[in-house]
Amino acid sequence: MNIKNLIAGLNSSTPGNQIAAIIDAIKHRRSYRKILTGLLDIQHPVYLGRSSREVDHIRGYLFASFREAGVDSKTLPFLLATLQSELEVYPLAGAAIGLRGLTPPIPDILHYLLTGLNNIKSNDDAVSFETYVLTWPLQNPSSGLVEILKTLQWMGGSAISALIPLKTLQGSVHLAANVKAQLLQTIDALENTIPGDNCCTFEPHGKKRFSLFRRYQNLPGRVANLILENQEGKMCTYGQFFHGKPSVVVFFYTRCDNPYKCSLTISRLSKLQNDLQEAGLADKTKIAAITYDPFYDQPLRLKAFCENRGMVMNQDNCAFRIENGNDDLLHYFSSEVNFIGSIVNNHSIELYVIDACGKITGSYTQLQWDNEKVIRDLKTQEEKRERAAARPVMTAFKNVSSAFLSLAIIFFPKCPFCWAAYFSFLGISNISLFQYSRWLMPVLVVLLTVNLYALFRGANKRNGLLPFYLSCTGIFIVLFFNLVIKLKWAAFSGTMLILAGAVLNSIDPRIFRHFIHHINQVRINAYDKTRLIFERHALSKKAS
Amino acid sequence: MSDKEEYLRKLKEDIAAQHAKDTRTQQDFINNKFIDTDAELLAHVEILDDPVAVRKAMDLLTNRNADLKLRMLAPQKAIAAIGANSDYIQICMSLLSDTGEPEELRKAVLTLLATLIFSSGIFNSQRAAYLSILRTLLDDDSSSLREMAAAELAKVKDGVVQERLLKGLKGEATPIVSTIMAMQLLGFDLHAEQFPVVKKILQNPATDEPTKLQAIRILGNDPDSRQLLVDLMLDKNQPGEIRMTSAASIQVSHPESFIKLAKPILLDETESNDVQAVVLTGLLLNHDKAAVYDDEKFLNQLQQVSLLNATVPTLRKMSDRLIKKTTIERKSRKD
Repeated sequence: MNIKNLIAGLNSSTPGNQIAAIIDAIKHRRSYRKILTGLLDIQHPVYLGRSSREVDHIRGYLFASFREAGVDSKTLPFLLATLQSELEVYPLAGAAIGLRGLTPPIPDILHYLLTGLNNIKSNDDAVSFETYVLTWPLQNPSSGLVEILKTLQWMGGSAISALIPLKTLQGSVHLAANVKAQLLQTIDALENTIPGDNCCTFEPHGKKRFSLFRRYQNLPGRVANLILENQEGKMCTYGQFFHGKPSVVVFFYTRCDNPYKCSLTISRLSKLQNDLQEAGLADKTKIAAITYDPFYDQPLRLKAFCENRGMVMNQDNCAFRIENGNDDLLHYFSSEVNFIGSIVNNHSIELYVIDACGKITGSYTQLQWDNEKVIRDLKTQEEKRERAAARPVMTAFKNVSSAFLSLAIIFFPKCPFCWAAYFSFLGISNISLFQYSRWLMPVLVVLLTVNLYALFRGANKRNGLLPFYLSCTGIFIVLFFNLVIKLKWAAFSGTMLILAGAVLNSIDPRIFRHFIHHINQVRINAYDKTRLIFERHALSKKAS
Repeated sequence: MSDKEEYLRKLKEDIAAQHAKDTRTQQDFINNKFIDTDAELLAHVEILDDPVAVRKAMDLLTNRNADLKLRMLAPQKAIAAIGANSDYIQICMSLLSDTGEPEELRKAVLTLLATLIFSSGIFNSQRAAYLSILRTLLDDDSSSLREMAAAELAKVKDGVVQERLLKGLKGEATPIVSTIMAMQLLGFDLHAEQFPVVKKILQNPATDEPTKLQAIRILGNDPDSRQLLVDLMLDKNQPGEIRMTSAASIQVSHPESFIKLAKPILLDETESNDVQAVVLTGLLLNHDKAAVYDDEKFLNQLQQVSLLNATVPTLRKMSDRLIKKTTIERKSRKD
């Protein structure tokens, strides 16, 4: 079977050893590196529903395969983030092995290797990457620390500055005999190497969310209307909170057992609060920490967790939970998280910069963010907001153009049948103007029939039978009242109905459903309000 | 001389006397040439810290001809000294993995190593080897050693033991421990994929009550099992223990749902008094004070029911406590 098909067929029920077999089959072929890199995404369906330890095992094995497959700029942040924030030895050792696929070694990775070394110094474990399924006792065991030291040794001249921390480590009582032997070997190798020329660098940057039409696009309705509950139990919608000021959003959950992830994220967020205060931006920005685990993280838990880590909570600095629609929010942010049932099984570190309209403008994911860069981004957003406020006419134009563009996108005919409907609508109403209308007439009638058939067949998949009924009525009015009885008004009303049918069918089904839902809500609210008025009226009558 | 000074002087004297006694008994133990009397001498020693005495204790531990009780006692007395010496730790680990040694001795050594993992400063250097041995012990012939090894591994959220326990629960492999213990050990890690299989066990009519109780405790952490637990808590046909454990699980994991469910139970005169007592305790411990103490209607009704409960003193007492606490809570808020 084709490798690409095998990869595409990977899902949550694929056994780990089968995934490992595919990794083994392609890791030696650099042309397949992209496929391996695709598996690095935490939200990949292959990790859904697996225990955290199984996810760690698969990812650790995958990381190690990059030694053969080679490491590129897309892979590198995943490996470095594991070294920076992981406590589990297997994925960390895998990341250290995978880094040996870098050509040439980059001195900037040294910091991450030393951080990883420090993270597992006291909880090292035996590992082996010879096979995916391990049989205990291992035949040729290595360990997380040994693999990190081997990578430092492989770096040669680029890792000379690691000599001092490594020599300090020599005196540690926490090291096993095999780790001490590897440490001596690494120190010896580094002492006898020539310093590297440091040709390449790696500096983690935030990702910019670039979109040509972003400024003309509105925040998706399903996101704007999401109800957020803050640490005090107060409710507001996403659109209400993320409006008027640029904001920062981080994700976390209180049951996270990795102190280098959620706990540290909130602690660093409180540091960001302090830095924003010093930069004079505290009143001009908002901060939100949103939980991945809304069912467990009740307001009281959110409050205690954030306050205990130094976060100042007020109306512009909140921790939120979203009981309904959390998936929509995570989808909107393309959040790097995966689940086992409702429980998080793996996640990345995530910080997003949001503009004053609630739209994502940038993100810092995987590696810990740099406060200076985040503040710089927020300043840019604040300046944009101020500029927009100073030019109300331009802003109004943008709003109008945004509405126009949205309508154009929604009503743009997206399939041949829609085109048929639009053309037949334009043609049949003005048929008398054409010289060859006698011959054109059957063509247009056929096109309308095709359109009717398409509307009927597609009713289940798209927007129901309403567009079909509207078009049917319109065609009947045009053919009978306009062409047979020759009533002039019938051409206009009939074509309007055909157009309405075509337009309704062109709308994205999700938007259509949302639209219908909204109308229903308005109807129900109106009914409730009317009933309330009548009831009050009846009560007051009774009382009087 | 003040009481404090007097106390300190006495304490110092006691410590010196104990030290002198230990030195004497250790010396006796070192000088003793007869293995038969070593056990008696060791019994009188509090701690072996003399290097020669520790060496002798380790020799006794590894001596296959020595009495089993003596071999088990020797390392217990020298635990601090063993924790400070990686060679001694390695000796203990090789005894643990030696299937030729008696099961009782290996269990004693495992207990000793399990203590050292958090009390010894240098144990970390042997951690990788120790965990490897424990993983090997999951297939040991001795069921109690298997259980102990599984428990130690589960404490550090080890993936190998979690996989074995899950396979055992799903019936995909021979279970290494009992169902109850497997659920308990998997419960140490929220992210261990145990909830679907535990849910199935709970819903299986053939499952016995103690197993069901353990399953309920585990499922308290699973948001997707909330409705199942609520149904069990409200079902008057369920045994009292099942209902009470469900109530306790909901109270811990879903406190907001608990308050809404608890109030009608307390006001229901036909409810089991045991369940009402658990529910009342849950309300007293709930952090959402406003939801508990600001519900005037509920508190008035509870007061009336409390008077009716005069025949059940504990329940009456607890209801009164909740009502009293309401007064205090409201007063403290006013202040």
